[in-house]
Formats: sequence, C-alpha cells, structure tokens
Amino acid sequence: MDKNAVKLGLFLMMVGLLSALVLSALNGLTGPVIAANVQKETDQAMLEVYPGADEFVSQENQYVTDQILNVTLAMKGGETAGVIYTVETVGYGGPLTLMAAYDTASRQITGVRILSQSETPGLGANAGQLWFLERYTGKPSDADLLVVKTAPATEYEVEAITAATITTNAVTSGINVASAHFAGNF
Amino acid sequence: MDYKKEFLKGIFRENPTFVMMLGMCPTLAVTTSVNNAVGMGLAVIAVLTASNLVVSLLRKIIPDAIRIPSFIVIIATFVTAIEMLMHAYVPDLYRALGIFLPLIVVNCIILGRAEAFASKNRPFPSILDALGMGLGFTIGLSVLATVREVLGAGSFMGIPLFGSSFEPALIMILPPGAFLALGILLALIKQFRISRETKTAKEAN
Repeated sequence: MDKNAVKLGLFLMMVGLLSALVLSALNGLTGPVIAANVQKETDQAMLEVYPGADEFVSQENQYVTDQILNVTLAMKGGETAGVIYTVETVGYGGPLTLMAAYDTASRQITGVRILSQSETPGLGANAGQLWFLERYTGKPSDADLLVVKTAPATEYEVEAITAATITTNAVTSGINVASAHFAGNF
Repeated sequence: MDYKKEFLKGIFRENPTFVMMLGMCPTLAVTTSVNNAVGMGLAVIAVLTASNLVVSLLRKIIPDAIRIPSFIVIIATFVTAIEMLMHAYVPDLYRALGIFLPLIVVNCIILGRAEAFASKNRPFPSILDALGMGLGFTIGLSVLATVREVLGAGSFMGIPLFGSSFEPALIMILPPGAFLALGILLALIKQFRISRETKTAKEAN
C-alpha cells in the first residue's frame, strides 16, 4: 500500500478527532446551560398561554401520544383551571412544536405559542408572531377549526397567513389534536 | 502587502454577492427581510473570520492533497461551536439566527476564502480578508433584502413604511422575487461598471 495514503488518512483522522474533542468539551460546558434556557422558555410560554395561573403541574407521561408531547394542568388556588398541551405537528420546513392552552370553565383556547419551528423566514415563520397566534385566542374547543383564506365567517374559522397556508394548516391541525383530546378528557 | 486593499476588495471589487456570485443559495433564501439579511451576514462574518484565522495558522501543517476535507472539518467545527455557544449564552440572538447557522456550512464563500486566500497568506491579512468579504456579503444581502422587503412587505426592518392602504407585491418576498430582484440589481451594477469603464477609456484618449 502507498505509504503516503496511510499518512494522509491518519492526518485526517487526527483532524476529526481534534474537532470531536473540542466539540464534546464545549457540549459538556454548554449542555446544562442550554437545558436551563429551554426550561425557562417553557415556563415563560406556559404563563403566556394561560395567564393568571399560580402553579403548573405536568402530567409527565400520562396522555402522551405520537403528537401530544406533554399535558400540563394550570392550577389556580389549588383547583385545575386550565390545561396546557405541547403538540408536535409537521409544517412546511419540518417539525413544528406548539403550546396551546384551554380554560376548563369556558372551554375556549386561552393562548397559543410556537416553541420551535423551521418555517420559511418572512413567510411561514411569521406563524410565531403574536398577531397571527392571537387569531386562535378565544376559539371554541368542541369542534375542529378550519383554515380559510378570507376573513373568518364563523368562530370555527381561522384566516391563513398569506403565502403560508401549509404552515397555517400545520398549526391548526396541531391545535385540533389538542382540542379533541381536551374535549374528550377534561 | 497592502492591508487596506485586502480589506476593501471584498466590499467592492470582489464583492462575493454581486461580483463573484458566491453563496447564492443563502443569498436567495434569507433576503426576505432586512433583519434576516443582517443576521445571516453577522453569522457569516463570525464563522469566516474564525475559519480564515485557523486555516491560515495551519496552512503549513495541512498536507496539500487533503486540504479541502480538512478545511470542511474546521468550518463545520466552528459552525457547531458557535451554534452551541450562542444557544447557551445569547439565547435571544440564537432564536433570531437559529435557522441560518446550519446554512453557513454550505456557504461556499467560507470554503472559497479558505482555499483562495487563507491557505496562502499569513494570519493577519487572512483576518482582514475575512472581515472584508463578510462585510461585503452582509452589504450585498442587505441591499437585496431592502428591495425585497420594501416592495414585498411594505416595511423596512419590520417597520411599516406605507399606510395600510398599500398592497405589497407579495411575489417579491416569494422565491421568484429573489431572482427578479437579484437579476435587476446585477444588471444595474454591470451597467454602472461598463459606463464608468468607457468614460475612463474616453478620458484616456
């Protein structure tokens, strides 16, 4: 065998090893900080989708399905006042995770937030902005919501983001999964 | 070596976007808004500077036959490292730039500068080259994004420019708009250069 080829191969292996070493050290350093950040963001999002709750009780693995990643009860004075769903759906650019909260008394959606998404910047990515997410606030949970391209005529209709219908459909279908589960279990 | 020239060439004479036409993929994809363009540009400046510095420092150690795979490993390492550091310590910036960071790995400006400049020059000029090229790329993206955002969304950096009666030409922030705007801008720049050259030629006569 060519002696030079072995030498070059070994050199490349060294480069790869060195890079892996640097990255694993960095990962050890940043991993816990990133996990804490994500936790803080989740807590913040819960307060936003169900304002006024004084305690959040995660139901851990209960109710978890392919799409429902977590169910958390929002407590007010020791009583269950709302239910918060973390749902994964598929958008235009890949997986999309959102949080939707329901009020147990009014049976309405109290808020929706996007936790992670990879939609097109400037188009589908606008789904993360409040002016769009507020279109879901106050919607009923007893039937599926429909995406329309004009101003909504009934309370079961949601107007799509212009040029991002696939993203709107994804968000709406995720919410419908949560709505159906909420209607059946709480 | 003329340091000023090494820095300025990336901004004007060898502008990666408008003259060398490198990194067209991110250029067309992220110029839907000025904020995105500036974010992508800053991320590229950071990775380009780091990779140019390291490639320049290692230029005598890396064997010629395997320099390209070595450069790619170095670049990918920097992108991943910057992604992790940003996610941990500047989460707000990470949320804004998150989707662009993985795209940098496939940005050929980085590999292009490693190959064409950093692997043949000393560290300091390599850093200047990286800053100039990165800045030129940022300016190129910003100009294109300004045209597209103003026409396609009626805003600049997210701030609405016109009244609510303004109907934006949505096509400009859709993929075809990227090609339209880039084509027209390239034509204008080319025309400007041609007329300037004929003018200097006439004056010389």
